[in-house]
Order: sequence, then C-alpha cells, then structure tokens
Amino acid sequence: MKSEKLQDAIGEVKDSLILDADTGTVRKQNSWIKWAAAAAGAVLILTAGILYVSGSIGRKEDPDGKSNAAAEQESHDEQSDSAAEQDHSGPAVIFSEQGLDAELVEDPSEIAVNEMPYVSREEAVGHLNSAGAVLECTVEEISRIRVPEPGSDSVWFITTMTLSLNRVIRGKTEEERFRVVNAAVTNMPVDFFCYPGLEECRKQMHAAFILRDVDDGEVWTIGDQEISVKELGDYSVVRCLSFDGTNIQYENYSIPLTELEN
Amino acid sequence: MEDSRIVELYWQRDETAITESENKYGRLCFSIANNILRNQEDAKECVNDTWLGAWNAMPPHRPEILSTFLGKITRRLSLRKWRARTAEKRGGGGLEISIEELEECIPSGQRIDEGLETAELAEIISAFLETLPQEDRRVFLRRYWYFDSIRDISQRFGFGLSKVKMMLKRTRDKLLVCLQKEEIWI
Repeated sequence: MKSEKLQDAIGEVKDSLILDADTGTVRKQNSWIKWAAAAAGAVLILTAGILYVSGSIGRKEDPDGKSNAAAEQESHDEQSDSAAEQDHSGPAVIFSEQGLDAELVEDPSEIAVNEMPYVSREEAVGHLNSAGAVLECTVEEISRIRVPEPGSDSVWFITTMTLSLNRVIRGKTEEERFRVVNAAVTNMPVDFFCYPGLEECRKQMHAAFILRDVDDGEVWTIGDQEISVKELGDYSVVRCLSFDGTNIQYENYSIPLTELEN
Repeated sequence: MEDSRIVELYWQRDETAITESENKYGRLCFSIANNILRNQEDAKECVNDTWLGAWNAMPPHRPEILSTFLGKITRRLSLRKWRARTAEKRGGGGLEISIEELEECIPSGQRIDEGLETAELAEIISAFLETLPQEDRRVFLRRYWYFDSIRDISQRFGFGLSKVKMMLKRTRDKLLVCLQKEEIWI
C-alpha cells in the first residue's frame, strides 16, 4: 500500500523523460503487434448533439440575468427522482426504427467515472475562454437511454435534453432553445455512463453548458446501423458545469465571471 | 497524422481523434496496460477507456506530447484496475514483483508523507532521474513506468539480465538516498 504513492508519482514524471525511455535504443522490438487488429474496431466514445430552434420567440429573460441557485436546487431535488419527467419517446423511436433496442434509464445512480488527468485552474479558465459560447440554460426535458450494440458487449448510453437559454455567459448565440444529445459507449458493467456533469442533469435544473455544432454527415455506427446524429439534433454537450450566477464550477475551481473574456 | 492535428480533432470534438489515437498509440497503450494487468481483455478495456479519458480531457488539456499523455491515462486506469483486482485477492500479473522492488526505495520504518502531493513527489523524482546517466534512467522508467519485464528490458537495450538487475538495484538505492535527503519520510 505504501508504495502506491511512489508508483503513482513515478507515473507523473516529466513527459520528456517518459518519451526518451520509449524512443531510446531498441535492439529488439517487443512483440505486441498482434493485438492491434483485435483492438482496432473497439473505439468507444462519441458525442453528438442537437440544437433546434423551437420558434418560441417571446421567451422571457430572467430579470436580473442570473439564477437563484437555492431555489433551483430545491426545484431540482423535488423533481429529480421522478422518472415521469423524462421524455424518452423521441430518441427511443429513432433507435427502434433502426431495429435497435433502446432501454430507458430512469435513475442513473451508478456512473462510471474515469480517473481524469489533472486540470489546472489556468487550463479550466482557458477552456471557458476558448469555447465557442458558454451558456446558462435550464433543462426542459431530459431522457436517458441505453442501447446495446448488436454483435458486441458494448452498450451505448445516450442522453438527450432540451435546453432553454437563460443567459449567455460568454460568446454569442442566436438561439433560445437547444436540443442536445450526448453519447458514451463502454463495455464496463455500469448502470449508466456519461460525460462529466451530465449525470447531475435533471429537469428544471440550471447549469452552464458548452455546446458544439453537429456536422451534417455525422453518424453513429451501432452494430451495422448508422444513426444520423443530425436527425436527432444540432448540438452536443462538450461540458456541463455548475453555475450559481456569478461563479462557474469547473472541476475543483470556482471561476468568477470576471475572469472570463467576452 | 501529426499529434498536434489529433489534439486539434479532440478540441473540435471530432470523433476521428479517437480512431487516429488508436491507430497511432493503441499499441503503446495496450502494452502498458498488458504489462500491468497481464490479461488481454482487461488491458483492452483499459485502452478503450483511455480514449474516453482523452476525449473528456481535451479540452481543456492541450498536451505537448500526446503519446505520454495517453500513456499516463492508460497507466492510471490499469493500476486502478490492478489494485481493485488485488483488493479482491485476484491479483495476478507481473506487477507484484516490481512493487516489491520499489518498496526498497522507501526509507524503512516510515511511510510516504500523506500530506505530500503526488505531483510534488513526481517533481522530486523527475529531478532525480535527470541526474542519472541516460541508460540508467531509461532502464528505470522501462521497469517502473512501462512495467516491462527484466527480460524485455534486456532485449530492448541489448544488456544481459544480470546487468539490468544490477542497474535497477543501483538506481533504487540512489532514489532511496535522494528521498532521504529530501526528507521525504516514507
């Protein structure tokens, strides 16, 4: 046990030293080539998403431009356990039409969390400042489904949400409602698997979102079926972050809006 | 494809980044995972999770050396899996021996200061490794970063088995002295 920390610390030594040890004199190549073909088809992560304009022109803005975090949390807590709030008919139908089983996940209580690389505060701020737009949105609808990949032990975990814009935190958008989708795939035995922050999403919850456009030709290949992501929507979630109106919580850092560029 | 281009694909949330990473570094990551776990299925699973980790980490990360960035994720995931397996008393793999070797570097009667961050300890070890002759450093990292077997190291560098063992022993002794000097109570 006591050597674990030493082992972990060796794992974090300078990249240049690690690289040098890998590219140094090699008399005889190791013979782990055979595995490559077996692993080649096993790429398991995709994200895509949807934004659509709902046509709701007269959406009222929050008068002071920021959310009441306490009230939101209360609302969130009250509603979080209700499976009824999840509208899964849309995405489930799309998968069913392709002959794929889509199973509703009502309460994603068990989330697989990978051990992530350390993110410095500077990197977190840099990411927020380089993102196309950081938006505070309310989750209007949310659905989580699980789609086993035919012919494989992998399972696709798909989250779709409809978001309404409360506030542009930084950057620009001309949209007011967004439908987003996010997919993660794994063969680990987990109840649900998704990106950081998304497991917390519940109906009526407010959070900061970083979205990206989905390309027209973007598809998910599930078994021998191709699902057009654009058919599901126009945006995907890059990050979902807690936001209390003045600070964004990015991993362990509370980043005030004053540090963001506009 | 150039690493910088692959990193850019991650930043653009283009899933081609994962395919390119796997094509270029899948073999490296698998060898790290398999050295630790000695189980091909578990190793493949860790490699697949590596791409997920990379996808989640970029952005905000923009690694300068993609191979080591991915390798570090694989190493962490594989060690975590190995430790979980060991906790379930299903150990196995070649890791026990290298762990026993590493324990020689820990000053006796103490244990690593819990307050010392892994990153701080990593800096001290990096500085120590930079003082070593290149061959010694490479051999040490092949053994304790990549978890290569003694035999693989001897084949890689063209040294005899006993020479590799001797180099590792000397380096571990030096690291022990270094940690004692730095007052890293282990």
